[in-house]
Amino acid sequence: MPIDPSNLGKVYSAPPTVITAADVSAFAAALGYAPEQDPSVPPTFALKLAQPVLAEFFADPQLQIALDRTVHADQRFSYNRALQVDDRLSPQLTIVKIRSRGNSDWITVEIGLDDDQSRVVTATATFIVTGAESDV
Amino acid sequence: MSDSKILTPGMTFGPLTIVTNRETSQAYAHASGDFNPIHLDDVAAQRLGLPQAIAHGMWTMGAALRILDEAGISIDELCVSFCRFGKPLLLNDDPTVATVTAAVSNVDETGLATVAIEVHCGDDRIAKLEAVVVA
Repeated sequence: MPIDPSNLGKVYSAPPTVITAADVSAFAAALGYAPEQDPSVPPTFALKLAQPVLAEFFADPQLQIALDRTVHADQRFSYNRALQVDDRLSPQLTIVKIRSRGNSDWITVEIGLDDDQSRVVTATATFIVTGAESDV
Repeated sequence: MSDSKILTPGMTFGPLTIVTNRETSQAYAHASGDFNPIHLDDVAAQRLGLPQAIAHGMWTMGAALRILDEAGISIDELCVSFCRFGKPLLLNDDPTVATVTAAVSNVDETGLATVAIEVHCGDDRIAKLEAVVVA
């Protein structure tokens, strides 16, 4: 079932989360970084901070996106500065593009991560949601 | 900032080897909070027409960007990173090995360099990335 284009512009937000050294170490280790006393925050860690708003987005009954029918098509990050341990950042997700092609929907979201003053990182993700076999 | 880090067009970096398997995928799911079952469970992946569970695209992107470290580029110099995902990286109990290569494709008049990064596994292109960094 195609995603209703009236969802374009919809916004999801979540309370701020703090980057901890333990979370950064576990994330860096899973990516194959050598262990360090004070590891720098890997560039893709921003998407972990976006998990609360991504969870809300994927659970939205108005979208009816099945996570297990979703793959990532592309991902962009724009950094105003590098993320750091102890950063306290609020995520906000906006649906910026919805396209349907055949049995698939392409949906693009823009996720902003803001500290108390300003935007730190903007993450833009495009997902492909494939319809269930019964839709074919 | 040392002179040795100045990037010029045509400079190449790598190859960097990145390695994953089912256990790594579990670890990445826990570390990232992304528990999409297609990365953890063959049956879920097969429902999507894939042969077996596949690596998280974000794992591939994150592991590939380690090549910036290898190139001596600090995270503080990274302005933009972009990744377009190609063929999936299939997960086994044994390691799946992919190769990351990078080349400086452009340096503009403002001092920003574009680094083109590719991830291959066998004959398959897994991902194509671009990083814009302070040259």
